[in-house]
Amino acid sequence: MPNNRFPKLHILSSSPHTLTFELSETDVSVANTLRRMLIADVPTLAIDLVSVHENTTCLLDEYLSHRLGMIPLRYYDDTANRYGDPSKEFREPRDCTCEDGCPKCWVTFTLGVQFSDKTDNPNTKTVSITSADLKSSNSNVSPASFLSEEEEENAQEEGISLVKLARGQHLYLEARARLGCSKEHAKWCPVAVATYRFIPEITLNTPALSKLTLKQREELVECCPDQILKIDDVTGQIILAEDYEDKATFTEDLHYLQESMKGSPEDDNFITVKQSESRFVFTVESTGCMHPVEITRSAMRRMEEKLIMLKGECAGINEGV
Amino acid sequence: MDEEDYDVVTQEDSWAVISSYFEEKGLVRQQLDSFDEFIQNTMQELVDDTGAIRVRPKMQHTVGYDKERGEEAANKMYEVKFGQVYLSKPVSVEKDSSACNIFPHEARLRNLTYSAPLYCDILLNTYDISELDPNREDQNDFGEPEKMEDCQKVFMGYVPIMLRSQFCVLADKNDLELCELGECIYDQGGYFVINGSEKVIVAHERMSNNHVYAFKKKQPHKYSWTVETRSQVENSTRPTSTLYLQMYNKAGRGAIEGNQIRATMPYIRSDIPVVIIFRALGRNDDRSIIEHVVYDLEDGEMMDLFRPSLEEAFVIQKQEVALDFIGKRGSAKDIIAEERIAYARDLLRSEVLPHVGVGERCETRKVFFLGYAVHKLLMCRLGRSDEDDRDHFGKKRLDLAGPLLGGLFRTLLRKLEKDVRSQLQRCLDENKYFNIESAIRSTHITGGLKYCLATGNWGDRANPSKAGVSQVLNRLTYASTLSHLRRCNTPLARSGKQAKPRQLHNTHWGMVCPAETPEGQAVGLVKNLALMAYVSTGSPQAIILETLEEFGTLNLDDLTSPKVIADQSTCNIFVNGAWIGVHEDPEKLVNTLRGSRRSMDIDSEVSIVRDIGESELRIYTDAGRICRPLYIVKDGCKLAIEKSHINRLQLTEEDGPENKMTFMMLLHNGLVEYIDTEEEETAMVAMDPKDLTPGESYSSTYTHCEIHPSMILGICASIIPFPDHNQSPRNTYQSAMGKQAMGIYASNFQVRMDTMAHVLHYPQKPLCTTRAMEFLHFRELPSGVNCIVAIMIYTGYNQEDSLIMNQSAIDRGLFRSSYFRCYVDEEKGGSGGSGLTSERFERPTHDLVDKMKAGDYAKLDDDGLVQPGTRVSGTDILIGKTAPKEAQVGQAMSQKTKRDCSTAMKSTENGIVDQVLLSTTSDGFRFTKVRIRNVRTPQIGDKFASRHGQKGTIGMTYRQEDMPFTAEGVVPDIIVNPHAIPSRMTIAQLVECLLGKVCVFQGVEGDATPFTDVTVDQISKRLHSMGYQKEGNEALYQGHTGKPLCARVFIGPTFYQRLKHLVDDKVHSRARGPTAMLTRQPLEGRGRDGGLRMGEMERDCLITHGCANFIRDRFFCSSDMYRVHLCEICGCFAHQDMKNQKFKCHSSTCVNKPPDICQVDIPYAAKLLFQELQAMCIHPRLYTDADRKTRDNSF
Repeated sequence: MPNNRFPKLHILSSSPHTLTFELSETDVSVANTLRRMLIADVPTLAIDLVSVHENTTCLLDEYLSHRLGMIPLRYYDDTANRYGDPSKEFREPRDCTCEDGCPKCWVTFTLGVQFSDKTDNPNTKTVSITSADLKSSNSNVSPASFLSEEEEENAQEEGISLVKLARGQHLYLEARARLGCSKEHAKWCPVAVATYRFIPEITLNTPALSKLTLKQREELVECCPDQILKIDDVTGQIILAEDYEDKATFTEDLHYLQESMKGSPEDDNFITVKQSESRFVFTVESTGCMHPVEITRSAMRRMEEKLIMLKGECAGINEGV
Repeated sequence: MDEEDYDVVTQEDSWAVISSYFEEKGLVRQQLDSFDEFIQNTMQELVDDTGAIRVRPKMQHTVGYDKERGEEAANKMYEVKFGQVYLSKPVSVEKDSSACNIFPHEARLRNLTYSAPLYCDILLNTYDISELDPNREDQNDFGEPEKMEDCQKVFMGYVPIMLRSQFCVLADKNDLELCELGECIYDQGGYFVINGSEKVIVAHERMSNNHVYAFKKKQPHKYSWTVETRSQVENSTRPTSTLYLQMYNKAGRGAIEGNQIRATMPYIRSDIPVVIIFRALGRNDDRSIIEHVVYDLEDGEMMDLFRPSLEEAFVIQKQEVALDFIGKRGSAKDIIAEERIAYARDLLRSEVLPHVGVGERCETRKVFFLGYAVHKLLMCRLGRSDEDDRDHFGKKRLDLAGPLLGGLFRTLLRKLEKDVRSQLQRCLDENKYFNIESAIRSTHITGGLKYCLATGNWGDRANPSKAGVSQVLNRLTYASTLSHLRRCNTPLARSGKQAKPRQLHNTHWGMVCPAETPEGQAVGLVKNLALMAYVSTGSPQAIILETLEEFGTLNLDDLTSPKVIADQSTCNIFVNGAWIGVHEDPEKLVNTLRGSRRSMDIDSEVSIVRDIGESELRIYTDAGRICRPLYIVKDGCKLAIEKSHINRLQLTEEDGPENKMTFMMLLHNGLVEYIDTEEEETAMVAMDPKDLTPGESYSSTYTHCEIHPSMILGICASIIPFPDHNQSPRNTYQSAMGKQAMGIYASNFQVRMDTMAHVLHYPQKPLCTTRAMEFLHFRELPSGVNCIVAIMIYTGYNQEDSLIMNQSAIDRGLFRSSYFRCYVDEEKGGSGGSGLTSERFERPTHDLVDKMKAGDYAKLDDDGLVQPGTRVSGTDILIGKTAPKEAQVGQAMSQKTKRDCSTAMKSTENGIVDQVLLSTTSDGFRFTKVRIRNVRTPQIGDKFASRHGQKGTIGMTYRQEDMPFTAEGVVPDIIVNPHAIPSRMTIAQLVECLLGKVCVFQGVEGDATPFTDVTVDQISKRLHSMGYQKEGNEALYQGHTGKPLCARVFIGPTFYQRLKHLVDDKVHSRARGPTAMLTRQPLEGRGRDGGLRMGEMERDCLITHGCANFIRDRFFCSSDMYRVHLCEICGCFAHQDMKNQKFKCHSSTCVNKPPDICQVDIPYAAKLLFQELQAMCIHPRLYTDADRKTRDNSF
């Protein structure tokens, strides 16, 4: 076994909506499993059933329903005092013991807006209905609209805009949200971005490089759009840029350029850029429905559950033999 | 950049000029101008041309006829004269005959016609002619009328009005007003609304008249060369009369040697030697004829060539003899010589070259013109000039709405005139009061115009001259609508495999789009106008004639000797094809004329062609010439337009209207002018203002400069980014495909009730735009989405032009669209429209209504209509309607008094009732439209295309986690197979993607206009400087495993279109189902739940497999298997009583014999064939065994 299997997780930075961490001492399969879990297996809340009572807006019922579904909903975890994993509180309706809907499996939102409710100004032509107009039946569940206070201040509207109303138009509807996961529909996806990149492993063949002319070295540096290389001001030699680990995009340009600079094709490479097989930098950006740390935790919990299930199944096989 | 450079007008500055052009003209100006010309001038002219209707009462010989009064009346002359015409605002008249102003939107919704009433002043005169001298000078002079009656504004009929023309109510409405009227703010008009459907009059291409064409005959042929002139008098009803001149190869009858020239004239059965026509026109001596033909008497070669023609006509030397010669070959028979001569003289006057003149003293001019034609023929034969090019676009004219409607209106007016005349005659004969208002039947004009516009069959109802002139306006996407309004058709047999007229001609440059033409049978015959092409509306030629006179043109009539024509320095002057005279100093004359055109003293659309080679000056003022604006270049190297003009063009309204420059002012100040295709041949056009730089320029004699080379493209091709990087057929494919793309076809789509419509939910303006898109409103009404496209192989589900699409992106709304379909019905009235006989909207019930459909009637309300918001599917009934049942003879009266005639949904569709409209038709019957809506999310099988003729269907959808991803987390929306690229050479798609990537990162729109200085290298550099691989390649990771892919992948944003071909509208399969009544074979087609045909070729495959039983199953058992019983004795079908299992043959030969019956399976079609043969007294007999003893072989 080439790689160590003692995964380590080290948080590089964390903000209310983005999390970057380094996962090391494991291999691609684990990293990819985590990525896939983050995208597709974290249960979240999203509006799934809409009853339109009256709609005189310019958008069709189906159009509005789709827009409503895309609104990220967040659940305030009273016990943890932060926006947390809704699966603690809610169940998917199909797993629920109730017959036809209960507060444990459905959260109801109502929306009733008239043009005249929004403005008294006779010169106003249109007003916007936003996610902020949705009234939740559960005080802990609310539409997420802004990732930060700064964003909220700069925004033109008070939430995610759904539709604009002209004078005389109104919209009355009831929307019901439930727990689900992104395998079913992308609206339950908790992340905007969940990806990882490989840490580069760059080796400089200094003896070979020093044989090149300055111009050639400059060319080598120039050809990398990610600027992982630079020329030392003092020695004139190629050295690695300080933050090359964060920058590398693994373009092939460097490879082709050095091929053309080599005396013969068998010569050693001047610079080799490889992708590390055991270190991954993850970026997780939330849609606003949960804190990214909670998303990651939830994903790992789901992974654990599945592994336990698999373990159980495997045990069953052994007994059968 | 130094100051001097800043003052130079560059290609970039041209966009200000182009903007001002479209601001003033819009994109359908040719349609509007042409229609306005028809309404404002042509209509009045046509009415004026209708001479007075003069009728005298005839003596009657009926019982009780007052003879004295009749005699007195016979001395009276009654006259009806049409005067001024008036057109009011469009109006609709309801059943209760209340009229109100109508707006186009209402006409569209209520299936009405958007038309305006036409009125005419009519003068009724009565003359006493008993005292008149029958031999008076002017036969049309009847002196003072005895009685005058002036009828003001008599109603003539309704004329459909073109939307946004000057007579349309929308003509000068602003966006807000348009919105309130339910119109699309981007709609440009140019079409009609007839019975609620939008109709475009497609321009028709034809050869120009009055031009002398010389053609070489393909040898071996009787003739070596022919010359033809299609001659038509300006604004005349008469069809063109063509004069042909042929040069014979061999000597024929009456000729001594070959090369004689003969003419074919209308109504003359055989060819006439051309010299005889000269003689008949009054040129008796050979010398005079030679002077008119050869001009230069020193030219021995030409004299020699003309000699055989002279010798051929040697026997006829006098005018009378010549006329008699022609008269004898005419259609009039058994007439005396004098009449024959008069007939020939008349023929020469009115049928030979009528455009030169039909009056009294036009012989001189005709001789000149005929001489010119013969001269041209001789020149061609001598190899001094070339054959005329039939496909030269300069000799083509486009008939637009105006001329086409004009022609129609003229025939309708003739009909009306005839009708009025006969009514007047009848009234007078019967001594009744003649009421002009009731005599003018408005149905002639109303019905005639409406019929032609509604059906597209132009001309008479009985024998239409052209079909497909008016077409239903395409409303699939905004660009397709615009393109349809600028279409042009060539009425040539589609089946003809002749390639020449279909090919792109040099002269199409800038006038016709080189890319946009359909594929298949109509390729090259259906054309589309280039963006800046302008079609002339025609201007009076009188002004030109005056100007020419003023500047020293020698009139042909005043020409002392035709010898001057031979002089190289003189120039022959033609106006609209007619030879007017000669001029001594053409250079100066042309400069004067051009000068006055540039200062708009003469119309700016007049074309002035100086053909130095032929020493001719041709001036055209007729309608239908295709022109385009060009910059004027002074002194061969300097643009007339300057930077200051550009700056003034760019001012907005707020800067003061007096400073703002318009395109009209550019024309007025001689900075830009319209050049038509023929004049362009005499111009030296620079491609770019840069080419004019002294020292660097290719030529120093430039006369004009292109405004922008990208203006050679049409509407659809202007949407393609970098078309100059594509293989040309790909641009053609995209031009056709762009019309099928979903988008927002009009901003008022929510209030429109189109039979079918697709609307894209989240359309985006493309990242890579062309400058021309601004004028097409492509940014405001786009028809696609910027997708992240990776060109790679992934899992193999994108082979053979299929695509892999990101399911998560689809979930989030990518390419979601709504589909609308409208169902229409009306309560058709029975006789008199009384409640008893007419149909009724109601909910049919089984106890009262007969023949009810299988669908669900429960969704109907009591009024017989579905409620908006109801989900409907399958064969649900949308409109419940019943008609009273007619009592049938010999049938017991049943309880059921009504018959069902409801409208059901299409069986394969479903949706939600979106809108229900209930109104009345113009006849006052109730009328409804029901609109169904349905959201279509992309799924496997749906069709998509980039803007480069690269179409494909979805082969697989993968969720986000299964798609490949970049280190930044970017996941492609679409994965295209790389094999789609090399053989098709759509480099532009790659360039678009690259530029798109740059634009995404920089947050700007990319300029993808063709023929500009943008290079791929520049784009690459910009991308590199932003930290991305310069060719747009990126390292991607496999979605399922997370491992890096070994190759770098080209990925970036590309604008994709969703095409209207959706699997949901196509999926079809059937196990059992309906069969045709006659043959009992399965029906055909998805709409009827038909079977899928196993055709001959499929059968051939099965045969090769040898699976005989399977073939039997497919072609027999699953089709029309039928069981018959045969009489083995006579071979006929036996009578069968299946219930009692008794079979018997009743034919006379077998009646008395013991029955011998067998049962066979045959196709029902075969059984049918035998019975049909029997009906024709052919009796096929069927035997199962050839040697059977019972067989009766006695017949």
